[in-house]
Amino acid sequence: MDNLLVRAQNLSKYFTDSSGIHKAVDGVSLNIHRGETLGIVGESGSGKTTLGRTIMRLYRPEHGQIWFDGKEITNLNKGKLRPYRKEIQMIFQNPYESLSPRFTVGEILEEPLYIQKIGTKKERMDKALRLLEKVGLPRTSYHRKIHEFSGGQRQRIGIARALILEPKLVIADEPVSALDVSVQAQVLNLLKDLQAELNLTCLFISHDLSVVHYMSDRVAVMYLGHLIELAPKEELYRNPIHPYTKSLLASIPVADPERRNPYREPIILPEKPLYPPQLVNIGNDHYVSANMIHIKKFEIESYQQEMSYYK
Amino acid sequence: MDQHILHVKNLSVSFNKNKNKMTAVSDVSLQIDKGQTVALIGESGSGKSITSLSVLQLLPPNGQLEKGSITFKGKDLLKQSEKEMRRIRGNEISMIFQDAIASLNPGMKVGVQITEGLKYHKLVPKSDLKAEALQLLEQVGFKNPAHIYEQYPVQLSGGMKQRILIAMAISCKPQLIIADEPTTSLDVTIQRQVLDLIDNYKSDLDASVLLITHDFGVVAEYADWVYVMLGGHIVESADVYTIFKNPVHPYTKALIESIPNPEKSQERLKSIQDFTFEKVGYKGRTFAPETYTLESKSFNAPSSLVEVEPLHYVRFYDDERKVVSIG
Repeated sequence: MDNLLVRAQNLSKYFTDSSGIHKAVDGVSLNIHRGETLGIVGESGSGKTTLGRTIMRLYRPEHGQIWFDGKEITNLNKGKLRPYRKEIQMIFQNPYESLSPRFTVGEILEEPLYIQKIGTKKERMDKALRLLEKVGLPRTSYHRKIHEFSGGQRQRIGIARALILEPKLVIADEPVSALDVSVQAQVLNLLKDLQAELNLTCLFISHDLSVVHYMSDRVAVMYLGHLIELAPKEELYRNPIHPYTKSLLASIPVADPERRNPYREPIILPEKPLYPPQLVNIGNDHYVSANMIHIKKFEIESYQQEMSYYK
Repeated sequence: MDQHILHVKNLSVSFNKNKNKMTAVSDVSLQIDKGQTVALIGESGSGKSITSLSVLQLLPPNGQLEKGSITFKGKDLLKQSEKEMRRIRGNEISMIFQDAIASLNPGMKVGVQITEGLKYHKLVPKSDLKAEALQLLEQVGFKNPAHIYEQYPVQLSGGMKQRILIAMAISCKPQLIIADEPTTSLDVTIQRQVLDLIDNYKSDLDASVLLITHDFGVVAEYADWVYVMLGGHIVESADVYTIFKNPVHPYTKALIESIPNPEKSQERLKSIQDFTFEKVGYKGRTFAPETYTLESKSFNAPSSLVEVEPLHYVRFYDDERKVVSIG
């Protein structure tokens, strides 16, 4: 069986407004393997949310192709997409806005089943109750409304809603950035547990590098609509190559006052190249945009030159 | 002689809601020295913002100062007239609010907004206002101040708006800046720039900062002294090195351990999931929990702050006192 769940090739999504074309996602190619968590980091406006939504086919891409589970879904129309909606589900950023205040928790959880015409009324209710337990909420929450829950609990409901259709791919779009740090930990742990239990494939989008590191197997870095670096997480955190990735890593606050460093690396924000960069494998499954390879080589060469002066 | 620039003593604030009185802040004392960054950390609803609003006396109308005193440079702020408070706000104590979008006037050019404080306090002649604004914009890191001066808030990104707020807050050269979660909802790279700006201003003018946050990572990078708040009480206070090396209160420990750290490979994050409040209250007299459970142990109502080691204060709950007296 094919090990790839999602294959995106040269994906682009543009938005047009009065000021012209804005290339939100430009020429991004990536694969998501079955059972892995791929993290996507980048600043706001770098196109990471747009990429997630395009993979889910909430947007129709301008260029490129998407394969899901071996079948191309790039140009399917609404009706043909419906079965795929069941396979790809999304966890949204803000649990205060993405859950309807007029529905009870039961109605929120059962709505996807109802739309997909799955099960009888009784079966749907059973399933909703089972999921409530799974995400650590009491069964009595079924008849309550959203305003009775705290932020962390709401996000649990959001997770339950995404999982009720037993999707193959879950796209989590900044699932904890609206929550307090103390609540963040429990939601992350829950997601990780569920992922292991249900063998989920997950696309985890966040601007917080430490959270992405905790959740993911591989990490992709987006910058101004381009994918600039992609590597297994240990490799990326040990050996970042693109200057933007380096700045990102240097900006994480270190939770240890003893290691406070007054001479931190400056933040470098390179200009956007005209064309989407070509990713090159430099070993250890570490892909980096090709024009940065030259810089790396140059650094090595100039370093060697310096060395030779000392001799 | 009081050498602290700000000294809050036994502050209690309560709110009237549907004829119920609810205490949001109870018996909070804190001190800020000249040139110091003091962090006030706690989750939403722990009373940290209310504490800072009472310093400026900007509490909502149904909020009441029950008791306590707030001394700023030897003056009791609670005894000042409204007119005097207006002179202090912005001029000697200024505040950076969390929500940059809501704190800026959408119908006014940002350059003009920056100088509102200067105009009010008549620190600069009117003819020099624009020059002053341009200089402030440059100070907060804009490369093209003349262009930014003409922009409206909607035309700027979140990080830029936050920098405008900082420019506004430092325009009158205050001795104390209260920054209420200045970087929540900003990206890491921008978060660092914004915090560095505040830090630079502090060290340039030997001013003080009260940094309100819920992120221990930020605290570790910028603060000198830390107060941890929980349910309206200060539960632990110490200098930043001590609190990271030897946290005593279970809540502080849990907060520190709940941060994901890329340098350690963690199998699981410690979470405060089991940290449920038994009695939080709109029903009871106080908003603070009277009993709470942590790791399925139950603790009673808080006692007073105890000094466990020199300059390290912890508010114990009955069971914890035993644990510490051994160690």
